[in-house]
Order: sequence, then C-alpha cells, then structure tokens
Amino acid sequence: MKLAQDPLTFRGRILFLTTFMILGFLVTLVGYYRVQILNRERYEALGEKYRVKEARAKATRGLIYDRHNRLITQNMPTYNLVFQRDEMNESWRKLKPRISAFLDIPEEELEKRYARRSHLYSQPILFKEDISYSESLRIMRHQLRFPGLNIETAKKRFYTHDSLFAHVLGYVGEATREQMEKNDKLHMGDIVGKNGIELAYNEYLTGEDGTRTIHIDSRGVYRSNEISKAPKSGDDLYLTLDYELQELAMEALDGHSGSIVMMDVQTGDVLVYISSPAFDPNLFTTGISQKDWDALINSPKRPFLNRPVQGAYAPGSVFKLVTALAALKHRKITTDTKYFCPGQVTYYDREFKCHNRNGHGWVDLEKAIQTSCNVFFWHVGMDISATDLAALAGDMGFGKVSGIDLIGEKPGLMPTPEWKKARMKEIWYPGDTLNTTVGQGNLLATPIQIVQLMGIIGSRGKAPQPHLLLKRVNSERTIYEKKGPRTPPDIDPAHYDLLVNAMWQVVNGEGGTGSGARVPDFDVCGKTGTAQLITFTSDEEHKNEKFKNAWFAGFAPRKNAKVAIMVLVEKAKSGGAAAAPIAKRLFQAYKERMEKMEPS
Amino acid sequence: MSRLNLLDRWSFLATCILSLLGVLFIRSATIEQGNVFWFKQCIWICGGLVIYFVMTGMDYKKMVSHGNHLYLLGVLSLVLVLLFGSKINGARSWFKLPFMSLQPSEFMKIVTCLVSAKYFSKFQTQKSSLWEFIVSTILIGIPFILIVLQPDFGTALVYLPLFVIPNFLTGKKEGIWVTVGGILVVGILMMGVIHKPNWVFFLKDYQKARIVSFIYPEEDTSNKGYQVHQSKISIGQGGLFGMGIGQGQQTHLGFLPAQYNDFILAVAAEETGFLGIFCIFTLFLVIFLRGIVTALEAGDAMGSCLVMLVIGTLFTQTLFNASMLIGLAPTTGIPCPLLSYGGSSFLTTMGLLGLIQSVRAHRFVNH
Repeated sequence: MKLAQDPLTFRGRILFLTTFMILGFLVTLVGYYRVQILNRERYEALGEKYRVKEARAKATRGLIYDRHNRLITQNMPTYNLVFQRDEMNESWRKLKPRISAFLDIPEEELEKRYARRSHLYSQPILFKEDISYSESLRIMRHQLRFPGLNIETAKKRFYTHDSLFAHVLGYVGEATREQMEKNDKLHMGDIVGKNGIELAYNEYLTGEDGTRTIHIDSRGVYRSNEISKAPKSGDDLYLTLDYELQELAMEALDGHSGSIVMMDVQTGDVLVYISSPAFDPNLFTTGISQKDWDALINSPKRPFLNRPVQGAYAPGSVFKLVTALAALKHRKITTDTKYFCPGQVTYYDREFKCHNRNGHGWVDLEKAIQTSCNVFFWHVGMDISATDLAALAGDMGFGKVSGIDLIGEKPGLMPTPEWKKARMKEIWYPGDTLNTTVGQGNLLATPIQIVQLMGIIGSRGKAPQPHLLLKRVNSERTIYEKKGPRTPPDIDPAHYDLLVNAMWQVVNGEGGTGSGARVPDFDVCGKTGTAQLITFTSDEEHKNEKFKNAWFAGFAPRKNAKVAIMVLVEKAKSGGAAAAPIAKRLFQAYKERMEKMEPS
Repeated sequence: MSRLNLLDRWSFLATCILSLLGVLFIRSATIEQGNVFWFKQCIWICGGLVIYFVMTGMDYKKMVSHGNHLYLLGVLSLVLVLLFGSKINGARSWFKLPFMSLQPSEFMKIVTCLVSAKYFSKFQTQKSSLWEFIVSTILIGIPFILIVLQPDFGTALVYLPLFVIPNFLTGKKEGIWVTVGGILVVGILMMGVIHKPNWVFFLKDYQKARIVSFIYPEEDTSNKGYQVHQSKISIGQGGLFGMGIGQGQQTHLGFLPAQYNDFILAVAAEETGFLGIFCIFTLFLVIFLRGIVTALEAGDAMGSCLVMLVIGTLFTQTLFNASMLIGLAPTTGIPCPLLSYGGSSFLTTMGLLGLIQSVRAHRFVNH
C-alpha cells in the first residue's frame, strides 16, 4: 500500500478553497449571532405583534334609577346572528345557499356580509343585527345542521318608561367622528350619551373598558382568548327624580306643551322634570330612521326643546315677586305704600293696561301680589332704577344658568340699559323698566330659574342648588353628590316674610288668582302669571289663548317650606286657570306621600 | 465489503446526527399535520444509507467511466421533465410517481460531478487551459440551462460552483483570472438585478422580485419579503438556547413558511437557539473538512477533483440556504442538505457524500 506516486499539484489551491469555506461558515454564523443574540428582543417583539392581538372587553354602561331605587334606564340583551368560519365543516360555496334558504336572507346579501370578514379566521362575521328572541331560539335549535351559525348577545340601552323621562335622561347613540378624535378611548360604533343625564354623566356611566388578549396562529385561528384586564362597569346613577310624581305631572299636563319642575326646597333635589311634548329616546338606541327624525325635528311643537333649561319665556306676573323684593330693598315702597289702580296708567304718552280693565282700586303690596295688579308695579317701576332691578334679579338667578347638572342650559335674558345699548343700539326708555317690572318686554327666563326663585323665597334665602344626581354607585363604593351651598342673595328676611304672606293670600285668600292650587292643611303659597307673547292690539287678542303662556310657581308649606313647584302651560288661558290646578294635584300627591312616610 | 472499514467514521457520524436532527425538526414542524412527514423522512434516511454504503463500496473510477452514459440519461430526463413534468411552486421540475415525486435536477448533480471529474482527470500534473474551461462550461451549462428553463433558480444556483472549481484547481494562473473574472461578472449581474431590474432581461419577474425582496425584506412584509421576515422572527426568538424542541411559537402557529423543507434551519434556530445552529454548522464543517482531507489524500486528480466538486455544491447549498433565512441571500427554493424534508434532495445528498467515501475507500492504488 502506498499513496499516489505523483503528488497532486493543486494541494495549495484546495487549502485556499478550504479557507474560503471556513470563512463562509464564520460570516454566516456572525449573521445568526446578530439576529439571535444582538437583536433578539426586537424579533421577539415583532413575533409578539403577529401572535398576540388585543381586543377590547367592553364595559357595561351604568344603569339609572329614580330616588326610590326604581329602574328607569337599563341595558336590554339583543341578539346578533353571527357566522364563525372556524366551526364550519363544508365550503362556504356549498353552505351559502342552504343558509340563505334557512334564514331567508338573499345569497347576495350573505355574500356581501361574508366579504367583510376579518383576516382573523376565528373572528365571527356579523350576518344580521338585533334579531328577535324567538328567531334566535329557532336558529339555536337548528344549529347542528349549520355549523358556524351562532348567536351573540349584545346590550342595548332601553328606557323603561319611554318618553316619560326623555329630556332629563337624554339618549345615547354612536360616537361621532369629532368625539372619537377628542377621546382616543372611543372607537367606531361605541355608544355615548348624546343628551341629558346620559351626556352630563357620560363619564361615570361609561366605565372603563378591559382588555381581551387573543393568541392567534398564522391563519387567524384563536388559540386562546382570555380577558386579561377585566372591564369596569359604569357607575349606576340614582337621580333625585320621583317616578310617581313625574308620571302624575305628565298626566296632569294632559298633552299640553309646557314644563313642570318640582324641587325640594331644602336640598335642591329636582323631583319632577317635565318638558312636553317629549319624544321616545328608545328611537335613538338602534339608530333613528330618517322619517322619524324629520318628523321630530320639523314638528311645530318642538319636542326636542328641553323646556326647563332651554326654553326662554317671558315670566309674566311671576316676576312681580322680584320687583317687589327690589323695591323693598331700595326702599321705594313699604308695607304702607298704596297706589290706585284705575285699570290702566299712562306713562310718557304710552298707555299701559292692567289685566283687570275695571281696575283694582287702592292696592298695597300684599293686595297687588294677591290680585296680580299691574298698575301697582308700574308705579314701582316709575321709581326704581332698571339697573337696581336687574342686579337683584341677577342675585335671584335671572340671566344666569342655574348650574343644574345638564348640558346646554340657557341663561335667559335679564335686560339692562347697557345690554340694550350694546345689543339693540337703542337707549333704554323708562317704559322698558315698566315692562320689566311685570315680567314682560325683553325679559326671558327659563322654567328652572322660576323654580329656583321659589326655592329662594320658600327657604327664606337659602338658595339651594337645583340638581338631578342623588348618588352614584359602583362596585367599590357609593358616592353622594354634594353640591356646595350657594351665597344667598342679600335680602332682609322680613321682606321674604312679606312676600310669603302675600303668596299665601294668592292661593288661600279671597280673590287670589292662584286659588286653583289650594290644598287643605298644606298652606300652599304661590304666584300666577299669564305672559303675553305679543303686544296686544285688541281685546280679542287679549282673550285668545294662542298668545298667552300660563304660569304657576309656588311652594308649600308656608313655614319650613319643603317643596317648590313651577308649572308652565304654553298657549293657555291664564296661570290661575290652566297652571294652578296642575300644581294642586302635585302638591296633593306630595303631601300624601309625606304623610305616608312620616305619620304624625 | 472490506471497503466499508475504510469509511470515514467522523464524517459518517456527523451525517447520521444531522439526518436524525432533521427528523426531529421535521416532526416538530409538522406534528399538527400528523406523523406522515417525519415517518416518510425516516424511510428516506434508510434509503439514503443504502445508497451511501453502495456508493462507498463501488469504485469511483468505474462510476466516472460510466459518466458519459449517465450524463446523456440525465439530460434526457431533464428534457422530459420540461415536457411532461408536473408543476410545483411554479417550476416544472417534478415527475409525479405514485409513491413519491422525483426531481431529476437533484440526481443530475451527482452525474454532473462525475462527468466533470472525468473530463478533468487527465490534469494530474499539467494545467488545463481556456479550451478546457469552455468545454466544461458547455458540459455543465446544458443541464444548468435546462434547470433554469424549468425554472428552478435555486437548484441551478447549486450548479454554479461546478463551473469554477475544476478550473480553479487545475487551470493555469491566467485561467484562474478568467474564473475570478467570471465570478465578478455574476456578481455584477446580481447587483444589476437589484438596482436596475429592467436591464436584466433573462430573469423571470418573480426571480427579480425575490432578489429585490431580499434587499428590503422588512418593508414589504405583505408578500415577497414576508417569508424572510417571518423566518428572521423565528430565528431571532430562539436566542441563545432556543425555546425547546416542539416549543417554537412561530413554527407551531404556522407563521414560518415552508417550515419542513427550505426553512427547516429556522425551526432549528427557534427551538434550539444559537447554540443549536452553532452545533449544526460544526457538524457540516466536520463533514466538509473530512472531505477536504479525503481530497488531499485521494489517489489521483480524478478523485480529488470529484471530492472538491461534491463539497463545492454541498457547501454552496448549505451556506446559501442558511444565509437566505436571515436575509443575507435572496429567497430561492434551496433545501438544506440532510436536514430538509424531501426524498430527492436527501437521497442525492447521501449519494454525493457516498461519492466522497468512495474516493476515500479507494485511495490506495494497489488495493
């Protein structure tokens, strides 16, 4: 045995190639080192991005109760028909005609829905939204014949009493593009409050979405699907409203346009909040149809107007209470001041007519309020400065928002000479002051301001803050919403007593305009108002109820007032005839409930 | 069978370990599709070992002397596959048989090595000239072009070293310059495809796209660069020690493409980490370095040349596959020798390694 005789001449070149080969391996190994050791974290993160998807676990919207724990807004289950590709056992092409026949949905429609499928294989495809419960049962019964078909439950806002609480609760709808831009937690199709309490306390009601961690494979099949961060349900809200009183008030208004607000004088709890006509907020939860929307928006009765906080009305004679307080404060009148009412008064060549064309004769303050004599207050208006009157009215809340917990409240209008000059480019005539003293002219007030005025007078200056939220309850605790006391207006308590006595006479005295609101043993105090909507040019117009709004505002009982009320009936005969009887029924009901709760 | 005593035990051991590792990774990659793949691979290993030993026992000189006939047969099979073969992944390179699919371009590697070695066997002491280079280029060029026509860019690529190695070994100094020049031309063409794809008219669009996707794999994650992107994620996730056999997330959730054949090394990288890759590279290096020793000890230029040709194609295939997975080379359909699933590829690799053993077993002249 021996090696080849002629040694190879290319041994050197073989060794050269060997070096080249080893170098090649080394370079590739460095490449793997870079990927596996130096950049490992980067590739791990990338891999995670493909494998792990995060989805939201939607939080349940909080419920809304009235003050006695009665549910007035809830979440109803709805059923969506979905299709799960990872459960089907034959091709979509074969399954489609069978499903189409079973569900009575045209094949093209199904195909359209199927085309919208996610790239995630296990993500259900929505076939039909909001199917009926019985339909869902039928599908479940035949589910085995159509593997893949499935029912998913979702939740839909439902307002238990339809339109009864429409304006105070508001309604919900899908978030708009602007809302989504402002709040990056919001996503397409999320439900948010659009109005009323739903809007004002949207943050409390929404809760906090959780996270669902989904592990997927390359086809998008879910390998695991778990809630990694539990959603936090929204807070349940307990409102100050009383369902029974609210229902009674709605019934008493008997379909008239108008507004009723009832408030606890001591706390500011709003017990009744009515704006009529109302709408059904349930129309909005699944998207209102164009026809329904047009009907609502074009209705001359303006059902969308949230009258208690957005309706601006001339308060009429109710405002005389403010005039009286201003005059007393600035010593323009005393209890002894008397003016003669001949039925009209002429001032700067203008004729001002009292509602009683025959005149009230000699009237003092108490009688002026009791009979609602205009002439008395016009005489006051000749003495008092418009600025002083406006300042006191401002202290009473006129021309300002009340601060009730609703969005979109209007301040109304308390006219002053400065305002008139700036806005209308006209000087303030003495006649303007006269108009203001009896709650006419440019003066505009919202119903909530009137009930607030009743609160101030009834409580002798305590000025409770009107509010709607009693408490909110979440999984951890109950939070009582305390509104800080407001600064009471600077008024001599004796002046309040004067007014209260006069208001008691309005309801309980001989010839009082508000006798319709009288409730035995409850000492109702009040003031009527009949605001004219135009300047009357004839007695015909004066008698036509199309041009008048009827007010009744009051509180009870006379001492330690508990409850204040404001009734506004639009286009009605007079405050005494149209509004006071409604107030009576509510006072009556309140009294009965009070007696039931604390039997004396 | 006394020749088997002369078998290179180190090389044989490395071959066996790599084959078994292959089964392990194939099983891990395909466990969700059942046991078919790794079981079949076991059968190929048995068949491969038979071929390996038969080759070892046969005298390489005899095989080389039959090179001409085998070459004609091989070219014929390549023509037939172009005409009657079945298309898989866009390339008409397979004969579909009832029990397996045959890829003649794989087996043709062995034949081409043999015929090239035969042609250069006379240059034991003298130098080959440009003429030999041209003739050998034509000789290897015919199967090369037939494979490009299929078009199977990846397999054709493995033929490239066959063009240059014999000339590099036996050529005159000037000849070597020609070789180096040739390599440069190929390199420039590659760069041309990358930067001015429209100028390179002879490559198919998908081939150009692959080369381009190799440059920017991560920007284009949707289609072309997706495979490399996912393969790099698999490899990167492996880290130093890997996730454990059967634990690779990219592998088991199906993000890694073609994971049981071309991308098997990424499975290995994900499940056994950088250490695993290091071991696999070492095992390949053992096989190749032992082969080099055989080439140096070979009885004649024919044997030496043959071994260098075999090492040349296997080395190119291994390194190209490995660097393709981390984006160092463009994505082409090249399986990893010994590790990847597939009968034709595995049997051919075993045949080629058997050739080396044959040269080693017959290195003594008067045995």
